Amino acid sequence: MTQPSHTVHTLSGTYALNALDPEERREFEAHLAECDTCAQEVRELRETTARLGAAAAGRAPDGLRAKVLAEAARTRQAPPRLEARPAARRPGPALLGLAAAACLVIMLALGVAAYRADQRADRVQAQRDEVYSVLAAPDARAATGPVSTGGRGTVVVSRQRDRAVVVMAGLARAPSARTYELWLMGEGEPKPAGTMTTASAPVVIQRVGRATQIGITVEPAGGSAAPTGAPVFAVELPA
Amino acid sequence: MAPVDLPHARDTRFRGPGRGTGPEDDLAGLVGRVARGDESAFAELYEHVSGPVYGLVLRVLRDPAQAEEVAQEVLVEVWRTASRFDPGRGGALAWTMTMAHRRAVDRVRSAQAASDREERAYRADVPAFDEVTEQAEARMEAERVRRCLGGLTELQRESVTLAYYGGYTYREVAELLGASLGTVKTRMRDGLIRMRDCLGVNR
Repeated sequence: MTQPSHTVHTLSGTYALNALDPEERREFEAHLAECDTCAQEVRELRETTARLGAAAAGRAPDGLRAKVLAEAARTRQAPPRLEARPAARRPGPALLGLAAAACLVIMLALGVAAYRADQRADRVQAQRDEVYSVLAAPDARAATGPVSTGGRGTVVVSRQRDRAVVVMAGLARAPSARTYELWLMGEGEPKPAGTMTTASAPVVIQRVGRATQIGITVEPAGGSAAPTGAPVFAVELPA
Repeated sequence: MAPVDLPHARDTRFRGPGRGTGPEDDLAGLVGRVARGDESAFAELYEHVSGPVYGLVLRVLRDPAQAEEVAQEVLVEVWRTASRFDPGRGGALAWTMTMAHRRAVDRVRSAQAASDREERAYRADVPAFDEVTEQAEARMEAERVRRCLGGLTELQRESVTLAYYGGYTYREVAELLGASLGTVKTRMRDGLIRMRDCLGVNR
């Protein structure tokens, strides 16, 4: 454990208030993984902000309960994390890759099984090998985020393999004559990275390059060369 | 109680899971059952946390329709990620409220919502916070929090409340208050530490 510098340590309050910029937040979280004193202080300050939050408690709208319970009933629960702290740098990179993979294996199994039904067995095998080669990469990192039209997406990226795997859960089928199109974003214009109409199978993106974000838009069937609408999904790619 | 200004030198006792029998432990127990897929436990948990989650999100977003949408996302996320809750790292309410605040703030900071919010600033139909604070329990908690906020310096109080209830980043808070970034960062920490001590948050 390193002794925190004064400046880094004073960020605990700002962090607990979710008032840091995204980059500073990532830096502070990296620091937190190594600084037990800071982690303890953040825990206490989070308990404190929760009290501020509870003080604002109101009556939830009457219809909310039924909506939440119904959506929960059709939402698959995430498996427990098998590792204490995925953000920590201590365990070897291979372990981190495994942890990210563990989170996805069940979802993937479902996706791959559905995929198998309408593809030739050898292509399925090749696709599956490719997916697992990304998940098992020593530098695999995962990011996840909501889809604005419902559902969630998880992206696992391996910079070494220059590939990413995108898995969507609860994604509505694309409207007729439309398709979901994936984009690699970063420097320059968004680059097309494949299309899908349902969330049935994981999508492998080749040549991730130095992209910093993956996004999804709804495009006319066949896909577009450049996005024509606002993204329904976007996540920052871990470096 | 002296405000703690030093960045270190506090005893860091480990708070073990499941100690005592306070409401927090009941909540933690419920989350544990939810993690195992127990829908009735989730319905019970909903009764405890939906008011705080919705109230906080509404406070930050101000728009009841958006607040309901975000509260729904948060509550379903509680169901989805219950297995990730670790009682050794804090209480179940803090876990839930952290998620709620993050989601609310993400929504505020997304470009679309930001422009909506600016637009709404010109309208006068924003429901007042006190109108939506109905539950007796929440009123008592609100009273305690108000009293403790009263014990902060003005700059501490404004830094904490603008960031937390306003959903502003510390840079925006500094701009609003005409204070330096460094000052705002330390006031946020000092203010929360005083709040922690005043509210008697478990260490």
